[in-house]
Amino acid sequence: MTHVRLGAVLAPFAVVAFVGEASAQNGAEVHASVSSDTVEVGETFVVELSAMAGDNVRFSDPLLRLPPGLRGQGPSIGSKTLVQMGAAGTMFRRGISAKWRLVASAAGRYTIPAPSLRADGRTLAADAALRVTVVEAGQKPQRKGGPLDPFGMGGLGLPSDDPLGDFFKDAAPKSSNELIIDEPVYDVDALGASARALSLARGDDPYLFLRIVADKAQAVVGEQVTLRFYEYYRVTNERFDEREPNLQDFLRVPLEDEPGQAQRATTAVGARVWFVQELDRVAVFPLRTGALHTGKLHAQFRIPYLKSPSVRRESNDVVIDVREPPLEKRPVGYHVGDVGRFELAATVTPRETIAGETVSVSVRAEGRGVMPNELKVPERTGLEWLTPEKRDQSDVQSGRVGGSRTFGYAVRVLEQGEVELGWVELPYFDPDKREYRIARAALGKVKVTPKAGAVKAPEPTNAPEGDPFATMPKGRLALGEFEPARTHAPALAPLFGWMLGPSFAVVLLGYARRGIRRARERMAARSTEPEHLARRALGELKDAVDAASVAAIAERAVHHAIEAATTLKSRGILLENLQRELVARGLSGALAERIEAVLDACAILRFKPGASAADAADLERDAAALVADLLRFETGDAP
Amino acid sequence: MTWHPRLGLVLLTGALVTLATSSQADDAASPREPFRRGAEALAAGRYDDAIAELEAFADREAPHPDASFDLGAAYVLRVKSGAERPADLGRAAAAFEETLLLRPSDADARHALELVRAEIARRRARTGKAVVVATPTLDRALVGLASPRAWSALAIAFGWLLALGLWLRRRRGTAELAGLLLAPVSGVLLAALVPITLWADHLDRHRRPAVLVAREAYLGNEDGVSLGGDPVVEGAHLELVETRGDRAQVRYGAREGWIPAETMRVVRRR
Repeated sequence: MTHVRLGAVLAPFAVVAFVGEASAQNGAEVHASVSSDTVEVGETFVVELSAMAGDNVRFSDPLLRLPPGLRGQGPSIGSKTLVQMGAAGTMFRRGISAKWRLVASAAGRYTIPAPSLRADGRTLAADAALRVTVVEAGQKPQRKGGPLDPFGMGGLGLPSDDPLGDFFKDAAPKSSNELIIDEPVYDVDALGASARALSLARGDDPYLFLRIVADKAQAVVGEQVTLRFYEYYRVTNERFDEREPNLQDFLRVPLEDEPGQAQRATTAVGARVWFVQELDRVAVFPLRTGALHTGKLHAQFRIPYLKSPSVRRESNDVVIDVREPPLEKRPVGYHVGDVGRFELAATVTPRETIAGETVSVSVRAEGRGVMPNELKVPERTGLEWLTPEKRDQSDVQSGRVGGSRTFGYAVRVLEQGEVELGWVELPYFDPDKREYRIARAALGKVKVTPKAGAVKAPEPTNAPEGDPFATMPKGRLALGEFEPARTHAPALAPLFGWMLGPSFAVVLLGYARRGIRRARERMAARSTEPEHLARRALGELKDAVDAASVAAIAERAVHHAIEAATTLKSRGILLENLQRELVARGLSGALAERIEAVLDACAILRFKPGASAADAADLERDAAALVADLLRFETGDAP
Repeated sequence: MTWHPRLGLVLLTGALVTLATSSQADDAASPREPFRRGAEALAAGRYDDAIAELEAFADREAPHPDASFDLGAAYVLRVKSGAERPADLGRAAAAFEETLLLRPSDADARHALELVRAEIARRRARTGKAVVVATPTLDRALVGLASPRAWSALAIAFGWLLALGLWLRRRRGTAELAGLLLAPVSGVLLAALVPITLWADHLDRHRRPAVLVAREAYLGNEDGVSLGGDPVVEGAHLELVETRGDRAQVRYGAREGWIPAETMRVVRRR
């Protein structure tokens, strides 16, 4: 097969023959189908094998054995993810889809053995063979394609806004397999609106590339985002081994029964003419918040023009910014993910029942968006809502996913009389109006008659072995002794006082003791200081009994004062040298002379027999004045 | 004076009648009378009457664990009798919670509360709804290990041990070594116990325990807009932060939000 006529290949999907469901292995489901049960000789048709299983099963090695007379290519393998949301939680099923493109070389009835694949090392096969009737060319009306279409993409019928018209008629290549378009776009405005929307300033590749386009960049959890997968090309090519993006954070719903049937369009990429083929269109629904990646679309191509075996291309990875619907005005009972527009309708049968029996409440939610998983039922005493059964019917209208889900409840009515059942509600977020709405359905009343001979309410179904309160302790007939416990902590001040008071006391006591000790040490130290000794000696002068004592005490006071003023221990210095030493220590010459004079007078008076009291008084006065001057010198007030 | 036996009999009878009448009057005026009537009604299977009397007792008198227990038992037995009214199980749970708060050692109340919570969970499971019970956050779990008074006593004890350690440090020999060990250890423990004590006291003074007495309630903001997440289920333990009008701000697990005040019952402590 020289090139793939995609239009012809994918067109006959209208007739899909499911030939059975294979036996399950680990919950695996295997289906096989053929795109058309009647084809012409040379017409391409598709055999598809799809397998789904739980999250932990891995499929591989799809295999199709062809009978003589049929030849084909493939498989091209895509992945699938199915999310089922039920009362037991969300369940993921994953699987693959393998497609073979086949062509018959002769008319006849063909039986294709059931295709198979490997699932975790075991071989699974569809349980029925596929049957195809091949008729001679021309006996079956052609839907698309023609002899002059070098790309085989749906015939010459270019879109109405195609500026090239019958471009390929004029191109008339010698070999259509090696055709390449190399035409500039002279007037971009001449392209139609859809072509302009697909135009790009620059392509990812000079010959072909894949591209995913999302209809919105921001969405809320559960809101539909439509993805379109495109192939941009300007050379003839044959695509195979196509793998869809993984879409692991999305619920995927196909929008096209026959992918790839959209008409090819022409557009401008980097101011040159390119073709664009929409490969598929899917609706995806974000399952969580965050910057969610769609993943990349992969495919391999054979490009005869390049004379290379095959090239591999991957698309861009689209990122959707997904958030929760706003918290503002969010109704009570809203479940994140219930996004769209819905209506509820309810029927209750029968309207008369017996206490303890059940009535059937069927609530149909219909509208656009992913169908809700749960409805808000009116729970009240006397009504017991059992787990509902759900039936789905999906639908796609104008590219919007919708349908209906019917919740079948069995409601046990325990009360008697006219029982008002209330309303069933579905709070949801309308993404178009960006607001919350609540769909409601009134259930009306049920007439409940008492059960014959019943005095006790019936036990609910599934009740675990009888009375749940069988071991309930008996009531108390008298009030026992009880003293209310005091649980409050003490007030803050007493609490901190009791907590930290002792420690503070210990610390304060320690400081006090240290202070006292230091004071004593200071006092002891001061008693030996020269200044203190000098003043004390002056004080002793008043108590001196005679002149010799006065002289001795005065001499001692002067020496202490000298030491206090100059740190010079002057007792050991000869009197004639003292003046010089004192001057060297910074005393003035006059003060040094006074010192020498007083000390000289002390020496004379001490050994002067019969010294008078007047002499002693003079010395005492002179010594006191001198000591005072010397002590001032110590404090910086030098005379 | 002549003794008349007949007159004596009449006087004695009159005295007894007077005494009995007086005793009945005292009983009627006794604050415990509603409890007595409630307990009798409970024993006789008149659960509506028992609930009315015991609720009246609870409204008028200080909480008593035995009265709270009987109230919870009355609600449970009304459910059991088939005459259940909305939120009976939630109210039973609140009553048993009150009993346990007043008398933590009451094994019967603990068992009854477990039965009630199990039945609530069983009913939710039967309707396909998840039974999500929010567990208290770490700080609540820690603080809830003891009463604020117990925490403060512990803090005071370690305060004294710290003082002893500081004093011993100034001694010589073994005493000094003991002080060197005791002072930092007790200081660290005291530093940890002070905030725990203060937080426990704050919660004790400013938060009140409560129980949800509706089938379920969704936490919302002050304007009643749902905050999302799992609903608070009947009988769930709540922490009442404040009430404002007909709304109550509660904490459920680690989440805080507003619910209708009528959907919860405060558990009394004193």
